[in-house]
Amino acid sequence: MKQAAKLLLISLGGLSISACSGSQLVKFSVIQQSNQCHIQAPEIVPLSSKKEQAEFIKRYSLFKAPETRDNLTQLFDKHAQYETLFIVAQGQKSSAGYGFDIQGDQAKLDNEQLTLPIFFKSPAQDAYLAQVMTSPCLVLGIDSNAHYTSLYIDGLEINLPE
Amino acid sequence: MLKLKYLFLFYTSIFLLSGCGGSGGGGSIPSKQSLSCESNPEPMTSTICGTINAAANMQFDSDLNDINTPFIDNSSFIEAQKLQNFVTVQGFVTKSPTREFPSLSHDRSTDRFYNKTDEKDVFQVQLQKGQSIQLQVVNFETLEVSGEAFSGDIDLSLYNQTYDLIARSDSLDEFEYVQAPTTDIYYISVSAWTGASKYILQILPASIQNNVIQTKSTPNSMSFEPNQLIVQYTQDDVFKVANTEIKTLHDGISRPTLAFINEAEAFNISANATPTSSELASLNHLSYQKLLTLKKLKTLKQQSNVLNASLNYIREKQKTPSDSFYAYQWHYPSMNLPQAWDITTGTPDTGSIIVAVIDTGIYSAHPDLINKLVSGYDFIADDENSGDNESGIDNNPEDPGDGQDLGTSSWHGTHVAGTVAAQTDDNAGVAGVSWGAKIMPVRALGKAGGTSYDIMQAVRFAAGLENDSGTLPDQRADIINLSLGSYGFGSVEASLFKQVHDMGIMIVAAAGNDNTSAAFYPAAYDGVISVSATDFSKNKAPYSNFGSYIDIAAPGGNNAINLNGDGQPDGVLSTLVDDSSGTKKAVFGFYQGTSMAAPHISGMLALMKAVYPDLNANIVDSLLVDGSLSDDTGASGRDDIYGYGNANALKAVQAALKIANGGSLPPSPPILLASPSSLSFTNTAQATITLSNEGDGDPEVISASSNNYWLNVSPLNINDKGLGSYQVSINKLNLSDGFYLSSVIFTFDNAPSLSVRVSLNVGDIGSSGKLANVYTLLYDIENDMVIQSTQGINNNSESIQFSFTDVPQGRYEIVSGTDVDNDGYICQLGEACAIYPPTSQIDPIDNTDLETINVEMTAIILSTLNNISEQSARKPTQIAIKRALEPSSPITLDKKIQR
Repeated sequence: MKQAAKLLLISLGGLSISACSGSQLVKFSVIQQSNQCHIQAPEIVPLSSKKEQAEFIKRYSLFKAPETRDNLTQLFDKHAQYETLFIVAQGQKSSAGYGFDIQGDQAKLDNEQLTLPIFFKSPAQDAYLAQVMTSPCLVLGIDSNAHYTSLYIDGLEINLPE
Repeated sequence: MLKLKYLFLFYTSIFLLSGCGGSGGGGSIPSKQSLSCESNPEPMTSTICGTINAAANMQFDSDLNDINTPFIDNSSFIEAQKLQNFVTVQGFVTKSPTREFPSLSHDRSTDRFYNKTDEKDVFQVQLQKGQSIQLQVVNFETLEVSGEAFSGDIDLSLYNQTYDLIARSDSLDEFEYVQAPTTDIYYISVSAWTGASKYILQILPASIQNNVIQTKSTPNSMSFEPNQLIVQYTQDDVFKVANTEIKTLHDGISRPTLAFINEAEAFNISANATPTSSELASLNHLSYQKLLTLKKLKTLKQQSNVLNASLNYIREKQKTPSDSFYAYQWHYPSMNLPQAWDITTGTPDTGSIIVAVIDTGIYSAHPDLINKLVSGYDFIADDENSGDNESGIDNNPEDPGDGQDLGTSSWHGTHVAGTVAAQTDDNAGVAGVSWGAKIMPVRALGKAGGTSYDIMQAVRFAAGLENDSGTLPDQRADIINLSLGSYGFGSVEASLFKQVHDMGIMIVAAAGNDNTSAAFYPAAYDGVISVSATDFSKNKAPYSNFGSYIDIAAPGGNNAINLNGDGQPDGVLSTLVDDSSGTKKAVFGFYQGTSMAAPHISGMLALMKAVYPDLNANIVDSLLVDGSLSDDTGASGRDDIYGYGNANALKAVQAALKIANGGSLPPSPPILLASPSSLSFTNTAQATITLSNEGDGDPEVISASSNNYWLNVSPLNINDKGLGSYQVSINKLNLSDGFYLSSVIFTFDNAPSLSVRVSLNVGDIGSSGKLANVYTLLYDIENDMVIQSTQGINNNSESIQFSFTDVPQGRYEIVSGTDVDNDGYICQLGEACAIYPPTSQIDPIDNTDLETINVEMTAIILSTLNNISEQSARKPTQIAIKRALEPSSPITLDKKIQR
């Protein structure tokens, strides 16, 4: 990660990273959500390369309208200009009703760990649920200028290479 | 004459015997008074007279060999003889003039066809779908002349109104049969292949076909290349087969080779150049080519230098829908749906099959669903859960999405509905299991799933039961699909599902996706068909629940693998919505789950109900248990993973079709009877049916209805359970002449439905039989001789009268019958016959001290065809009695022969 140098510059500009009670806040955006990402396990996966992004888009937009793929490609390209993209997967679930509770658009950066206010959501116990296997995920973009070595979301953590 | 009496034991037709102006010899039932039966002037003699009636539905070929029978040529399509569609016909055809056949009995020159042929009889008839026509070949004069010279053979063909050859049965066996594929007007062609033969032609109602077909031969498929055959000659003859009529693709080889028929040469050289062949060639040349090919095949098969020969069949693919993404729907061939679609695509003869999808609602604008929906309802009472911006329940089952954010909704109900019955074969999108079923979208699952109460209201609505909406659907659902569930048991729910099941509605539910054996509801409730999920390999999907409540397995998919090599995950592909852009767009996608397995079963049941409209939950339960819906998979018999096995739509539809065609229905504890058990209308318009329960249980009548617009039923005098009398009425308006079958259907709350067969004759083609020329013999028992004979008054009527005068006092028997082939013998197989007395328990006629005796008899056609409950044809009595060559000239009975 080469964000460190950039972090200083951006911080001086005060644009998207701000200090707060000893920790910093980093802006992030949710680019796309789906409940059918075909990712079996809960995990955070970087979408670092164009190839990885294209594979995700291909899988996501299968049988969807042609413009869906184009729009998604354009959206990813746009966000990738100033954000680092990640897939956050909840893993395979046995019914509908799972997903994410996204509480704001500011992540907390503390000791190089970036904690996002995103929580996994589960359906009420004993509710009648649609019996379709789901694999909720979202694609998020984190300001490329932020420096962090790990990413934490509701018990999921990914350590990023320096 | 014990022998004669013994032979007569088979006759049970109605006979009336009474004295005319005196006491009768045996019967007390008044007889019809014959106009010709006048008192005899000689005091020591009597007059024995009577009437011979034709059995119901008996007809005769209008060009019999008996020259005394009226002649109307029926040897061409243009001159086709019209028949009613429930009939037994006695007929005669001959390939050659009968002068070529020797006769031991009489001068052959009296034959109608002494100098000409009668190669074909053509009949025209309006048939209902599934009606079968069977033919028994009765060889000409086998009584007199044994040997091969008279091994006559007859073939049977069925053509439609445009003279397309629909079916042909051309075995060398005694029986042939064909079947009407659709309701239409047809031509039936009975053609002599060799020799001369009498025949019996029976047209049977569709509902009893399985009980009567006797031939072992299978009618040829008509899907073959005309003028082509595949032939294998014997090794020694491979270089000798070339002729002008047929040419092989490869000469001089012993393996099967393609052979081409030279149509022109075949027409000229073979015995095909008959007037009727010429007629068919001009009316429908392709039909003629196919007929020619079939004839040539039959000829080759009888040649000693031919090892084998067959048609060059066009092996068409099973019915494959044209939908763009069908290639990805591996889950349909996996349960033999293409083969099932060859039988039905789910559109019943009348009305629609409705599948209620109780789910997240529907995206009604989806092109694959927009034309497949009936009105539904939204039963999600909680506004937050509903998310449709409407307060409480409402009549709009549109799915607003069950996710919090764009792109996160499941559109689950839309996917399930597409599997059940997406618009199919429309060159776009995906196929549904039932092409013809309609979807009733009933919304009960929202953002937070569903509650027991909301789902119960949805079930009640779908079933046509009172519910919180205050409304009922125009037509209740036939099948309810519940691709949902949880692990909590509720006794109120259990009671409701049993009630709905007992109404006959089939309920299908997903077994759950947690790979556990814990009971999952509503799948585990009694009366609900619980469906586990399988993958492409027909193995248990890794997520699928299992356990004692599993009934059947169906494709649910596995998106983690791609075993079918189509480059896509092995999920179930169906209709979906993409709202990620903020605008709903119709898309498609692979889902996996027991939610996806359940609609495969719901759609399969819809296909079954399309071929058997009386299908109900009890019948399905029985079919499930006896393995008629599935292939046993896993442990032998029922197991906890696959239940009774992997669903097999072909087997299921065939099972339904079998029941529809008269197969046995599963047993049920209550024994509900309708009296009469069937109704037949000819001149009347109303009748009464009395419904009673002779068995256990306390069934209540839920509905009384018919499956045809011309048939109506209404309560007349019923008790609080609906048992009692019902009035049945018919309306012949807009019905063309012919025979029609329908049913009055009673449904019950805890018993299978009951059907009362209703037949209807319309027009002047009634059910009354017709007699050909009839010869009647008066047999003197004591002197063992026929003392008088008479020829019936021939007026193509339902009855013929006879009279013997100056009959000395004595004891007599009367034998009366037709001589279809003019061989001098009556009462042979294939001929009509009436005998008095009918049984040894009835005394012969004794005319001592009587001036007149009047007898009434009913003639039946002697046949080895199975009895079809009508009186027009009977098991073989196998007698033949030489008739008088000249009317009234005495002849002894020494020629009486028993075969």
